[in-house]
Amino acid sequence: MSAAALGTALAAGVVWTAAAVAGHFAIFHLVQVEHRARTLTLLFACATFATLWTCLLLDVDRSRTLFGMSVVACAFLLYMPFYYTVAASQSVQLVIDIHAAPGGLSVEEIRGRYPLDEILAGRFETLIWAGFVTEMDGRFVLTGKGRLTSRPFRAVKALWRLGPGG
Amino acid sequence: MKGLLLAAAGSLICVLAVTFLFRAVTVFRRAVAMLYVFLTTVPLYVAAYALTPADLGWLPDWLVEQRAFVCGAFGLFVHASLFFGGWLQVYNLAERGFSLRILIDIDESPGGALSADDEEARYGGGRGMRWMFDKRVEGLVSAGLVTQRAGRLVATDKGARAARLFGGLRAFLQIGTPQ
Repeated sequence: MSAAALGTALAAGVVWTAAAVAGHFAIFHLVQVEHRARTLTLLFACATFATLWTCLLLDVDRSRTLFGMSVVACAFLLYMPFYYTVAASQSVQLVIDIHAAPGGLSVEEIRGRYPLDEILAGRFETLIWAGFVTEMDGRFVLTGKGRLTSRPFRAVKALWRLGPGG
Repeated sequence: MKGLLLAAAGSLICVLAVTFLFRAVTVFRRAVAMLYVFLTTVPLYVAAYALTPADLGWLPDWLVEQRAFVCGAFGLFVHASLFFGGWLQVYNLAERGFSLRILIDIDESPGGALSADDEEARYGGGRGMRWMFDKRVEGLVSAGLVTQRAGRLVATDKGARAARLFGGLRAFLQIGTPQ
């Protein structure tokens, strides 16, 4: 087995990961994307297959090909939390708003900008749209997908004794 | 393959140690504690990689890597990815996730159903939504991103840099205000 095979596989993984990130920036900048998480996942899935294809093309053996694909998978693990911090973090939004306001904001002004009932209504809307929750007679109940998400995290919270959180 | 296997073992040891720590003592800065546990496993990984044979005593020849340094570095990258993108995110979601907290509140409610008003009052194990909001503001202050000045919150230099970076990224990626 060639000693260069591992380097080739890892390089392929790095290059295709960079392509996925560049693709993410280009697509999101040029098009108003509705299914953002799905699009991002698809981009990294494409990068994984592209790495596989590159390794097959360059005659890299199976185990080293797996290494190359693992690079993309690990990059995905690291990139998604970063993306969600940019896209969905309320704390980040607060910093942006406080910075944008000349003289800053008082706590009351911040509360005025973010009415709790509107924040909650918006989040319920998102949860319904994503299929985690459904509305019945003005009350919200979990779907199967919602329960599948909630239960493992309840177990983690109990195992790590995390308390209510949120 | 040795690097990958040792990374998996290191990650498993890391999460077991975190579990033991969280159950054995009351930890106030849990994310920092997790980071220390992870950092402790890094020299363990390096030592295990240096001290074990290339085939770990049982790997077939075709899975033995000739470039030991590259394989070791790759294993370390996997180990770090599993921690920062895996276990630490599981903790962050469980401890701070807004949507997840709503799902858990509904799941734990009698009858498994909540109205929006119920949720606003019950959020975070009965602490209410206002608590969540205040917690985030306090978090920004303790992280040094904003500071109190004459009764108003203003961005520090660090906060201004963060606001420019994230605001710029949000604008470039066409991401609206999160709810």
